[in-house]
Amino acid sequence: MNEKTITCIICPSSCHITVRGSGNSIESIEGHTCKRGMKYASSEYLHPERNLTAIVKAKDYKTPVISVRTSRPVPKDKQIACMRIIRELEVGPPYEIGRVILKNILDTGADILLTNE
Amino acid sequence: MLEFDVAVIGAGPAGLAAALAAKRSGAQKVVLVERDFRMGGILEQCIHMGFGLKYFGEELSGPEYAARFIKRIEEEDITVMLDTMVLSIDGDMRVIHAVNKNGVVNIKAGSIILSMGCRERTRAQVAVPGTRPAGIFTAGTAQRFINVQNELVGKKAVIVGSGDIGMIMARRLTLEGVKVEGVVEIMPYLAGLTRNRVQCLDDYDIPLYLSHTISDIRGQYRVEGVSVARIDENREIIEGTEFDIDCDTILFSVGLIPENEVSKSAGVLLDPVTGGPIVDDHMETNISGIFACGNVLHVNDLVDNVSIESEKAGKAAALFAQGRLHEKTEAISLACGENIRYVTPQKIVRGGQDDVTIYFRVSSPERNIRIQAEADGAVLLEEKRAFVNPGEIEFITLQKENLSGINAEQLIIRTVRE
Ligand SMILES: Cc1cc2nc3c(=O)[nH]c(=O)nc-3n(C[C@H](O)[C@H](O)[C@H](O)COP(=O)(O)OP(=O)(O)OC[C@H]3O[C@@H](n4cnc5c(N)ncnc54)[C@H](O)[C@@H]3O)c2cc1C
Ligand code: SF4
Repeated sequence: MNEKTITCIICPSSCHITVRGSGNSIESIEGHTCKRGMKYASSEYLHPERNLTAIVKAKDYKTPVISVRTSRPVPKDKQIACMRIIRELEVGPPYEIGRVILKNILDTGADILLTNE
Repeated sequence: MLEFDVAVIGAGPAGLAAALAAKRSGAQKVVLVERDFRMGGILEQCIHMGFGLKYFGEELSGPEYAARFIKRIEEEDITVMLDTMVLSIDGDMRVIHAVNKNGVVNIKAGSIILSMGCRERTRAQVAVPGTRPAGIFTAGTAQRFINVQNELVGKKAVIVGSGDIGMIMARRLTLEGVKVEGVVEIMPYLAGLTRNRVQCLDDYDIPLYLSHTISDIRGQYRVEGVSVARIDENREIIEGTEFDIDCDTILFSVGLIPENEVSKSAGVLLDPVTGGPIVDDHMETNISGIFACGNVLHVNDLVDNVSIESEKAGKAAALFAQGRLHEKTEAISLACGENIRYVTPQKIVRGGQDDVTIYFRVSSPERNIRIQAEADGAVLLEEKRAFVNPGEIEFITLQKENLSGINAEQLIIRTVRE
């Protein structure tokens, strides 16, 4: 049996929610005030994900680097590994917001996109 | 001398939204003056997500949010002067004095919008003892070094102050391989948003030391470490609680100050609490035809609110330039009641035709309260809040029907316990 305390970030009330379970099944969720909080806590317990933002080196751009992000959240425990790959990337023109510079990073289903131009 | 109907100073999100709104409200000639080499303001270095949920209904990074406005500016016939710094304004004549690489630029404007944003408080303003080695930055400066100039600031960092910028930098540094040893906050509560504590500190097991202060900074040429100590209610160091952290970098995230040197030169009066101009619900300052919006007015935590508020300023400035904004009449002043630290706008012009949204911050955190707006002993509006926190801006909207009936000089905003 696992127990995890999660601070809900959906609204400013910041409820402390306790999730108990083992492996991929949840036994109980306590401490939430509303359904949105329950949903958040269960997804945080089962598969926590985060959007990742970073910079990559940019040739012939107005600054030495350009900002990028993942097209969708990636599993929290893959963030550092993703960063290691992103840090090695280098791009050239055209600089357009939303341009994909790397597809499906580490098989997460997320692409790396430019967020500036 | 250049002549424009509306001149906007600063092309951050506030200036961008204001210039667009001014143009779309009928101002013929609009100029946007920006000292940086590009438009976008602080958003250009805020590469993280968390912008636009309210305004665009989707979550964007800072540069993406700014780009949507920049595109619209470029589509309109608006003059943009980059690399141009405004030095002063003649308030009575509404003449702006600026400089750029070609020399002095003077602009005569029908109306002026102040949207210069804010700057960071520095170590000097929080009086931290110790030596003066290299390796000490404000969090925003470090953010620009890393995200725009590709210069990593150190290897092991301590962050002073739990504001949003500091926490966001804690995550950013961690992802770039810098070890963040902790965030030290003098207050007993977090200065920024809980969401940022969870996603920027807790996610990476970065310790948060509330009610702690930096008692010493060590290092002769480069920072070598800090001493941290717990403090009591009087902010005195509690003896025996001191501990050392080795680090080569210290980031200060100890608050922002609205950037109002230019405003002062025009004779604009500032609110001692917000540090920004005192404005009415048209965002007009005490000087006729000079308006203000965004972080220059008060420190905002949500850029979406900045865009909305700045559109009001842009529209009013356009009307003023066309002689269509009604004369300054008597105004109702807003007063801070129980647990309200500040409100803005600080005045509401009588006889207005619009609903008025009032932004405010509380002085200390409270649970289960009601926000009340009262005039002449009558409660005009009451709204419940499960939780209020000084780090999160609050707002209420007064309907024009409610406002038209007010005879009192003052409208008081306060919190009331259930
Ligand atoms: C690190 C950080 C993180 C943030 N995170 C979030 C977030 O996650 N979500 C969110 O919604 N909001 C966030 N915010 C808040 C949001 O970015 C601000 O509220 C917003 O940028 C304020 O816009 P502004 O136009 O008033 O100021 P700014 O963006 O500061 O723009 C002011 C502009 O004026 C120019 N200027 C100043 N003085 C002069 C002069 N004399 N002459 C010419 N030009 C001048 C400056 O160069 C600048 O471009 C964050 C802010 C910071 C600093
Ligand atoms: S559980 Fe509901 S009330 Fe509590 S913080 Fe989450 S969203 Fe807000």
